[in-house]
Amino acid sequence: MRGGVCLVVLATVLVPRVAQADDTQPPPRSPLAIGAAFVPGVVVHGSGSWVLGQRKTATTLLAAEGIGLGLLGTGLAGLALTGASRRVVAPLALVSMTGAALFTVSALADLYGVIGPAGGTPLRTMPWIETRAGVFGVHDPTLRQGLFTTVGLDARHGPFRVSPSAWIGGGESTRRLRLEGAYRFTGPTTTAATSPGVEPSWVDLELALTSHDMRREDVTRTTGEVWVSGRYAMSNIGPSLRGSFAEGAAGLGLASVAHTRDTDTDTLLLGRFGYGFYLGAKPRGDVTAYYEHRRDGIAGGMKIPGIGAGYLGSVGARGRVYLDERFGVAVDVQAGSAAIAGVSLLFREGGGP
Amino acid sequence: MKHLVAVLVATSLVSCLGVADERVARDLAVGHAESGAVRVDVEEGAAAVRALEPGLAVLRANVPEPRFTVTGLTGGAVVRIQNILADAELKAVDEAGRVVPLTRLPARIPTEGAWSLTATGARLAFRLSVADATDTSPYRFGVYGDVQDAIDRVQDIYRRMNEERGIRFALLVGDLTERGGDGELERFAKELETLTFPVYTTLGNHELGKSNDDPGYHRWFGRGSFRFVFRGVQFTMLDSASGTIAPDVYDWLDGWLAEGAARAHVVGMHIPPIDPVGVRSGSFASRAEADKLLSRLSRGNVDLTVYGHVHSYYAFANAGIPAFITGGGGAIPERMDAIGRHFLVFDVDPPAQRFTSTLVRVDVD
Repeated sequence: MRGGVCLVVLATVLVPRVAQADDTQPPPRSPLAIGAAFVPGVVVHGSGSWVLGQRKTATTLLAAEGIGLGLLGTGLAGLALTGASRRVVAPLALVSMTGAALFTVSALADLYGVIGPAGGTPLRTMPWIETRAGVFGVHDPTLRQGLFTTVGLDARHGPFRVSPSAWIGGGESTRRLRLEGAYRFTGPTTTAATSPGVEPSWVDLELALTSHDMRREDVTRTTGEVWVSGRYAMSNIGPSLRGSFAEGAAGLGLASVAHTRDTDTDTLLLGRFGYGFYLGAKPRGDVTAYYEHRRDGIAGGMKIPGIGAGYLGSVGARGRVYLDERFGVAVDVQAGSAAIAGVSLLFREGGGP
Repeated sequence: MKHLVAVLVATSLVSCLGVADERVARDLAVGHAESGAVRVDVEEGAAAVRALEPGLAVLRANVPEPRFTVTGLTGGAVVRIQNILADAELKAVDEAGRVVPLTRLPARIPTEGAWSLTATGARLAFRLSVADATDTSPYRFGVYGDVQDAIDRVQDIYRRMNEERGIRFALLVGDLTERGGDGELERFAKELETLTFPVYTTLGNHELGKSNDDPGYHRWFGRGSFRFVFRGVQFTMLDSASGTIAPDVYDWLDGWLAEGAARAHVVGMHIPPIDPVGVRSGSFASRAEADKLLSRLSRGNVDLTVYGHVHSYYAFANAGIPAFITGGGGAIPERMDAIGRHFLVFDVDPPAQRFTSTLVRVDVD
């Protein structure tokens, strides 16, 4: 840790200051900044940005890391001290997850700031319809799921969105149907555009109903969910982060699980966070890496070797590239109890830069 | 397609999909040992081979009536079996089916038996048997879990267990130790010696603290996944220490469920498929796998499920099967639950396939 601080100090002396305060334009890339983003950047988040002369960005990322570690420590300590008591486990887990999100996002943001592509352009208004149809391979040695076909669409009207989707197939004869409805409190919609030059941030309230039916096992899980989700434009922090965004979501789920003999209820703590960036000078799409806390999906949660078994969700990445105004391709990978990889064809109508 | 396979393989490596697979191989190796000319093979890995010398075989039973063969014992030999019912008797026959005379040696503790014999090096078949093994009248067994770092205080629990009338044996649903090292496992085995009845165990996630794939657990206590039948009740223990069941164990389980469908059947494991406090998720890594397992247990007419991992006491039902979590062995307790250290005692009426539970608190003021 002390070595890391020394490296930052050394780099500060060696590298000419590009700006006292962060410029409005992204600075040129610097090999030293890239190196600093890894060492000591892995420990001291913002190191790369600092060497790049993006002091405000660097201190914000470092502060985010500190707050993240504090929340993570507080959450984990609380869980340990209370023995993960049923009375406090949900808020403590949420605090831990928020801490992990801040820690992860601040690290990825620093890397993006020094090695990311030139900031892409997001849509300023949302498409009124987006559809996707894909094929996913699922390697799950326990459930032997196999290949899935997937379809889904997002239909938007003003701040409202309805998103039905389906995953069908798999060795377990699985059918996962989901209907999601959302209301956007703030951010771009089909009719409300973000201001020119401003990258979009948003906050949504989501309600969802999911039916996960494993017919070969005679079991159907039906889950009602409520989420608050959002995207934050990282350009608000500094110009070197232009074109990138952080995502976060939290919620609760209540499930009914119908077995042959009886029906159980189950509750879920839902959470998700990620970091991504837009592609292309025209709105071409985006790439996002994320952590998904839920364990009731096709991916499930990660199977951790050793003591820490069972407590983590899955990690994944998705990329969407539109080849023209309407048609595009999406690629998804996800690793939990199952390894998932898939390709989807995309179509959209409406929305614009 | 090749690219898709490559991506799946890479993603699989990230997510450790086969996290419990190697332990299946450890399970299959339990009960098979060779030292010089002496070889022991325990049927279905029902006992761990603890020591093997030309004149000595030491086994640790993990079921009431293990069967095994020994080849290569010569002269005046001793067969010692740990973790047995106090009234268990060992019988041996040679390859021609002739009874081999055995002399029971004075017992050091109630749960250990030693028998001397004169051996010629030929293959001998042994069977540990209990007089009441086929008696289907009601009886009692205990269940406990999650001792971990509270080993210094575990004698409080054993003392209380010994006071409990008529417990025939106990099931231990994992987390014997804090990190699973040999020293801890040895200490745990030593502490068990004060109990007047045997304890049949599976492992928990804390036994994987030193090694996920080759924990010392199997060398000390035997298989993580196994089953036995005693007095009309089938007991099936599963290795869920990684929040999953290995695919091969599902194949075993299908057979065990078929065997147990018509009799009273108890299934125990460490990590419960579903935590009754779902937002905590002290449970399987995948809800879909949990649902699959519970559905199979339900369709297999399982009558009772017992779990550990959560350091408290919960009585609930999963997939229509009565379920209990008993993690009261002394590890960091769940606060604000007013439970404390405890164990469970079940009264079972085998023909009726009926189980009645009693929560026994150890820390009672």
